[in-house]
Amino acid sequence: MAGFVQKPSVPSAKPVATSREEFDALKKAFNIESWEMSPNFWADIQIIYTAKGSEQQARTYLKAIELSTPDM
Amino acid sequence: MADELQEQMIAKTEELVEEKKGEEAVVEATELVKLDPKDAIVWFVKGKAHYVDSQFEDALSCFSKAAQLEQENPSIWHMMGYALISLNRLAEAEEALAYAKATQPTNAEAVCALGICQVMQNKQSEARGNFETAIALNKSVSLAMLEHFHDKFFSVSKDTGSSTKAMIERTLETLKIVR
Repeated sequence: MAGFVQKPSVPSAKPVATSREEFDALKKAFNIESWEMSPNFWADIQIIYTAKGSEQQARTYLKAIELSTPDM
Repeated sequence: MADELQEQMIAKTEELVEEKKGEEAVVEATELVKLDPKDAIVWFVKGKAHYVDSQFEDALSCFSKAAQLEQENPSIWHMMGYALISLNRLAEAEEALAYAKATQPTNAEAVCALGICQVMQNKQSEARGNFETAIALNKSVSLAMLEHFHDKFFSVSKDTGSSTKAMIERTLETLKIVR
């Protein structure tokens, strides 16, 4: 199922400094089964908001969370 | 021996990130990268440490590096979405979180974050659909994210009217009871 999902392109970001020694170390690096070792406690990492909401965004939010009125 | 050392450092870094000791976590993660800069998990953990420390450009660089190494891992795109929201790169954040949702449809946090990102872009109907899905998946986590969003994005804003803030607060309280 995931195979049909369009993968996003990697966002532009400032380059990560990597020395030749580090690059050579990459090739020699051993694999660690680390995804299993690295639990993701997402509830403990909140989104950090650096902007403040506008009135228009607040109204959009209100409409998006308001309860539906049952069809008559 | 090296395996054991890396395992200990990853565990230590995760622990520090969870405790939100951002600055200390970055130091530990930087040491970790020196051991194996290729490994996507290292960049991922380092990125999380930077994110908790509000170093969003550094966090994005690390997540981008991790994604280059392991492009299909939804955990990377989930955190990439958070970093892009913090950097106000909302269209890219939406793309990252939509991928996390598509590959992990039961990940309530990613679905709710996608809805939040859509609200920030005034995409009401798309956001509404994602909030309904997220609440159905995990109500307590989703409502906590929605309240946090209100507290940190609208409640503190001078550009949002007090009556609108009050209506949002009432709606969130109602959601706790009804859904």
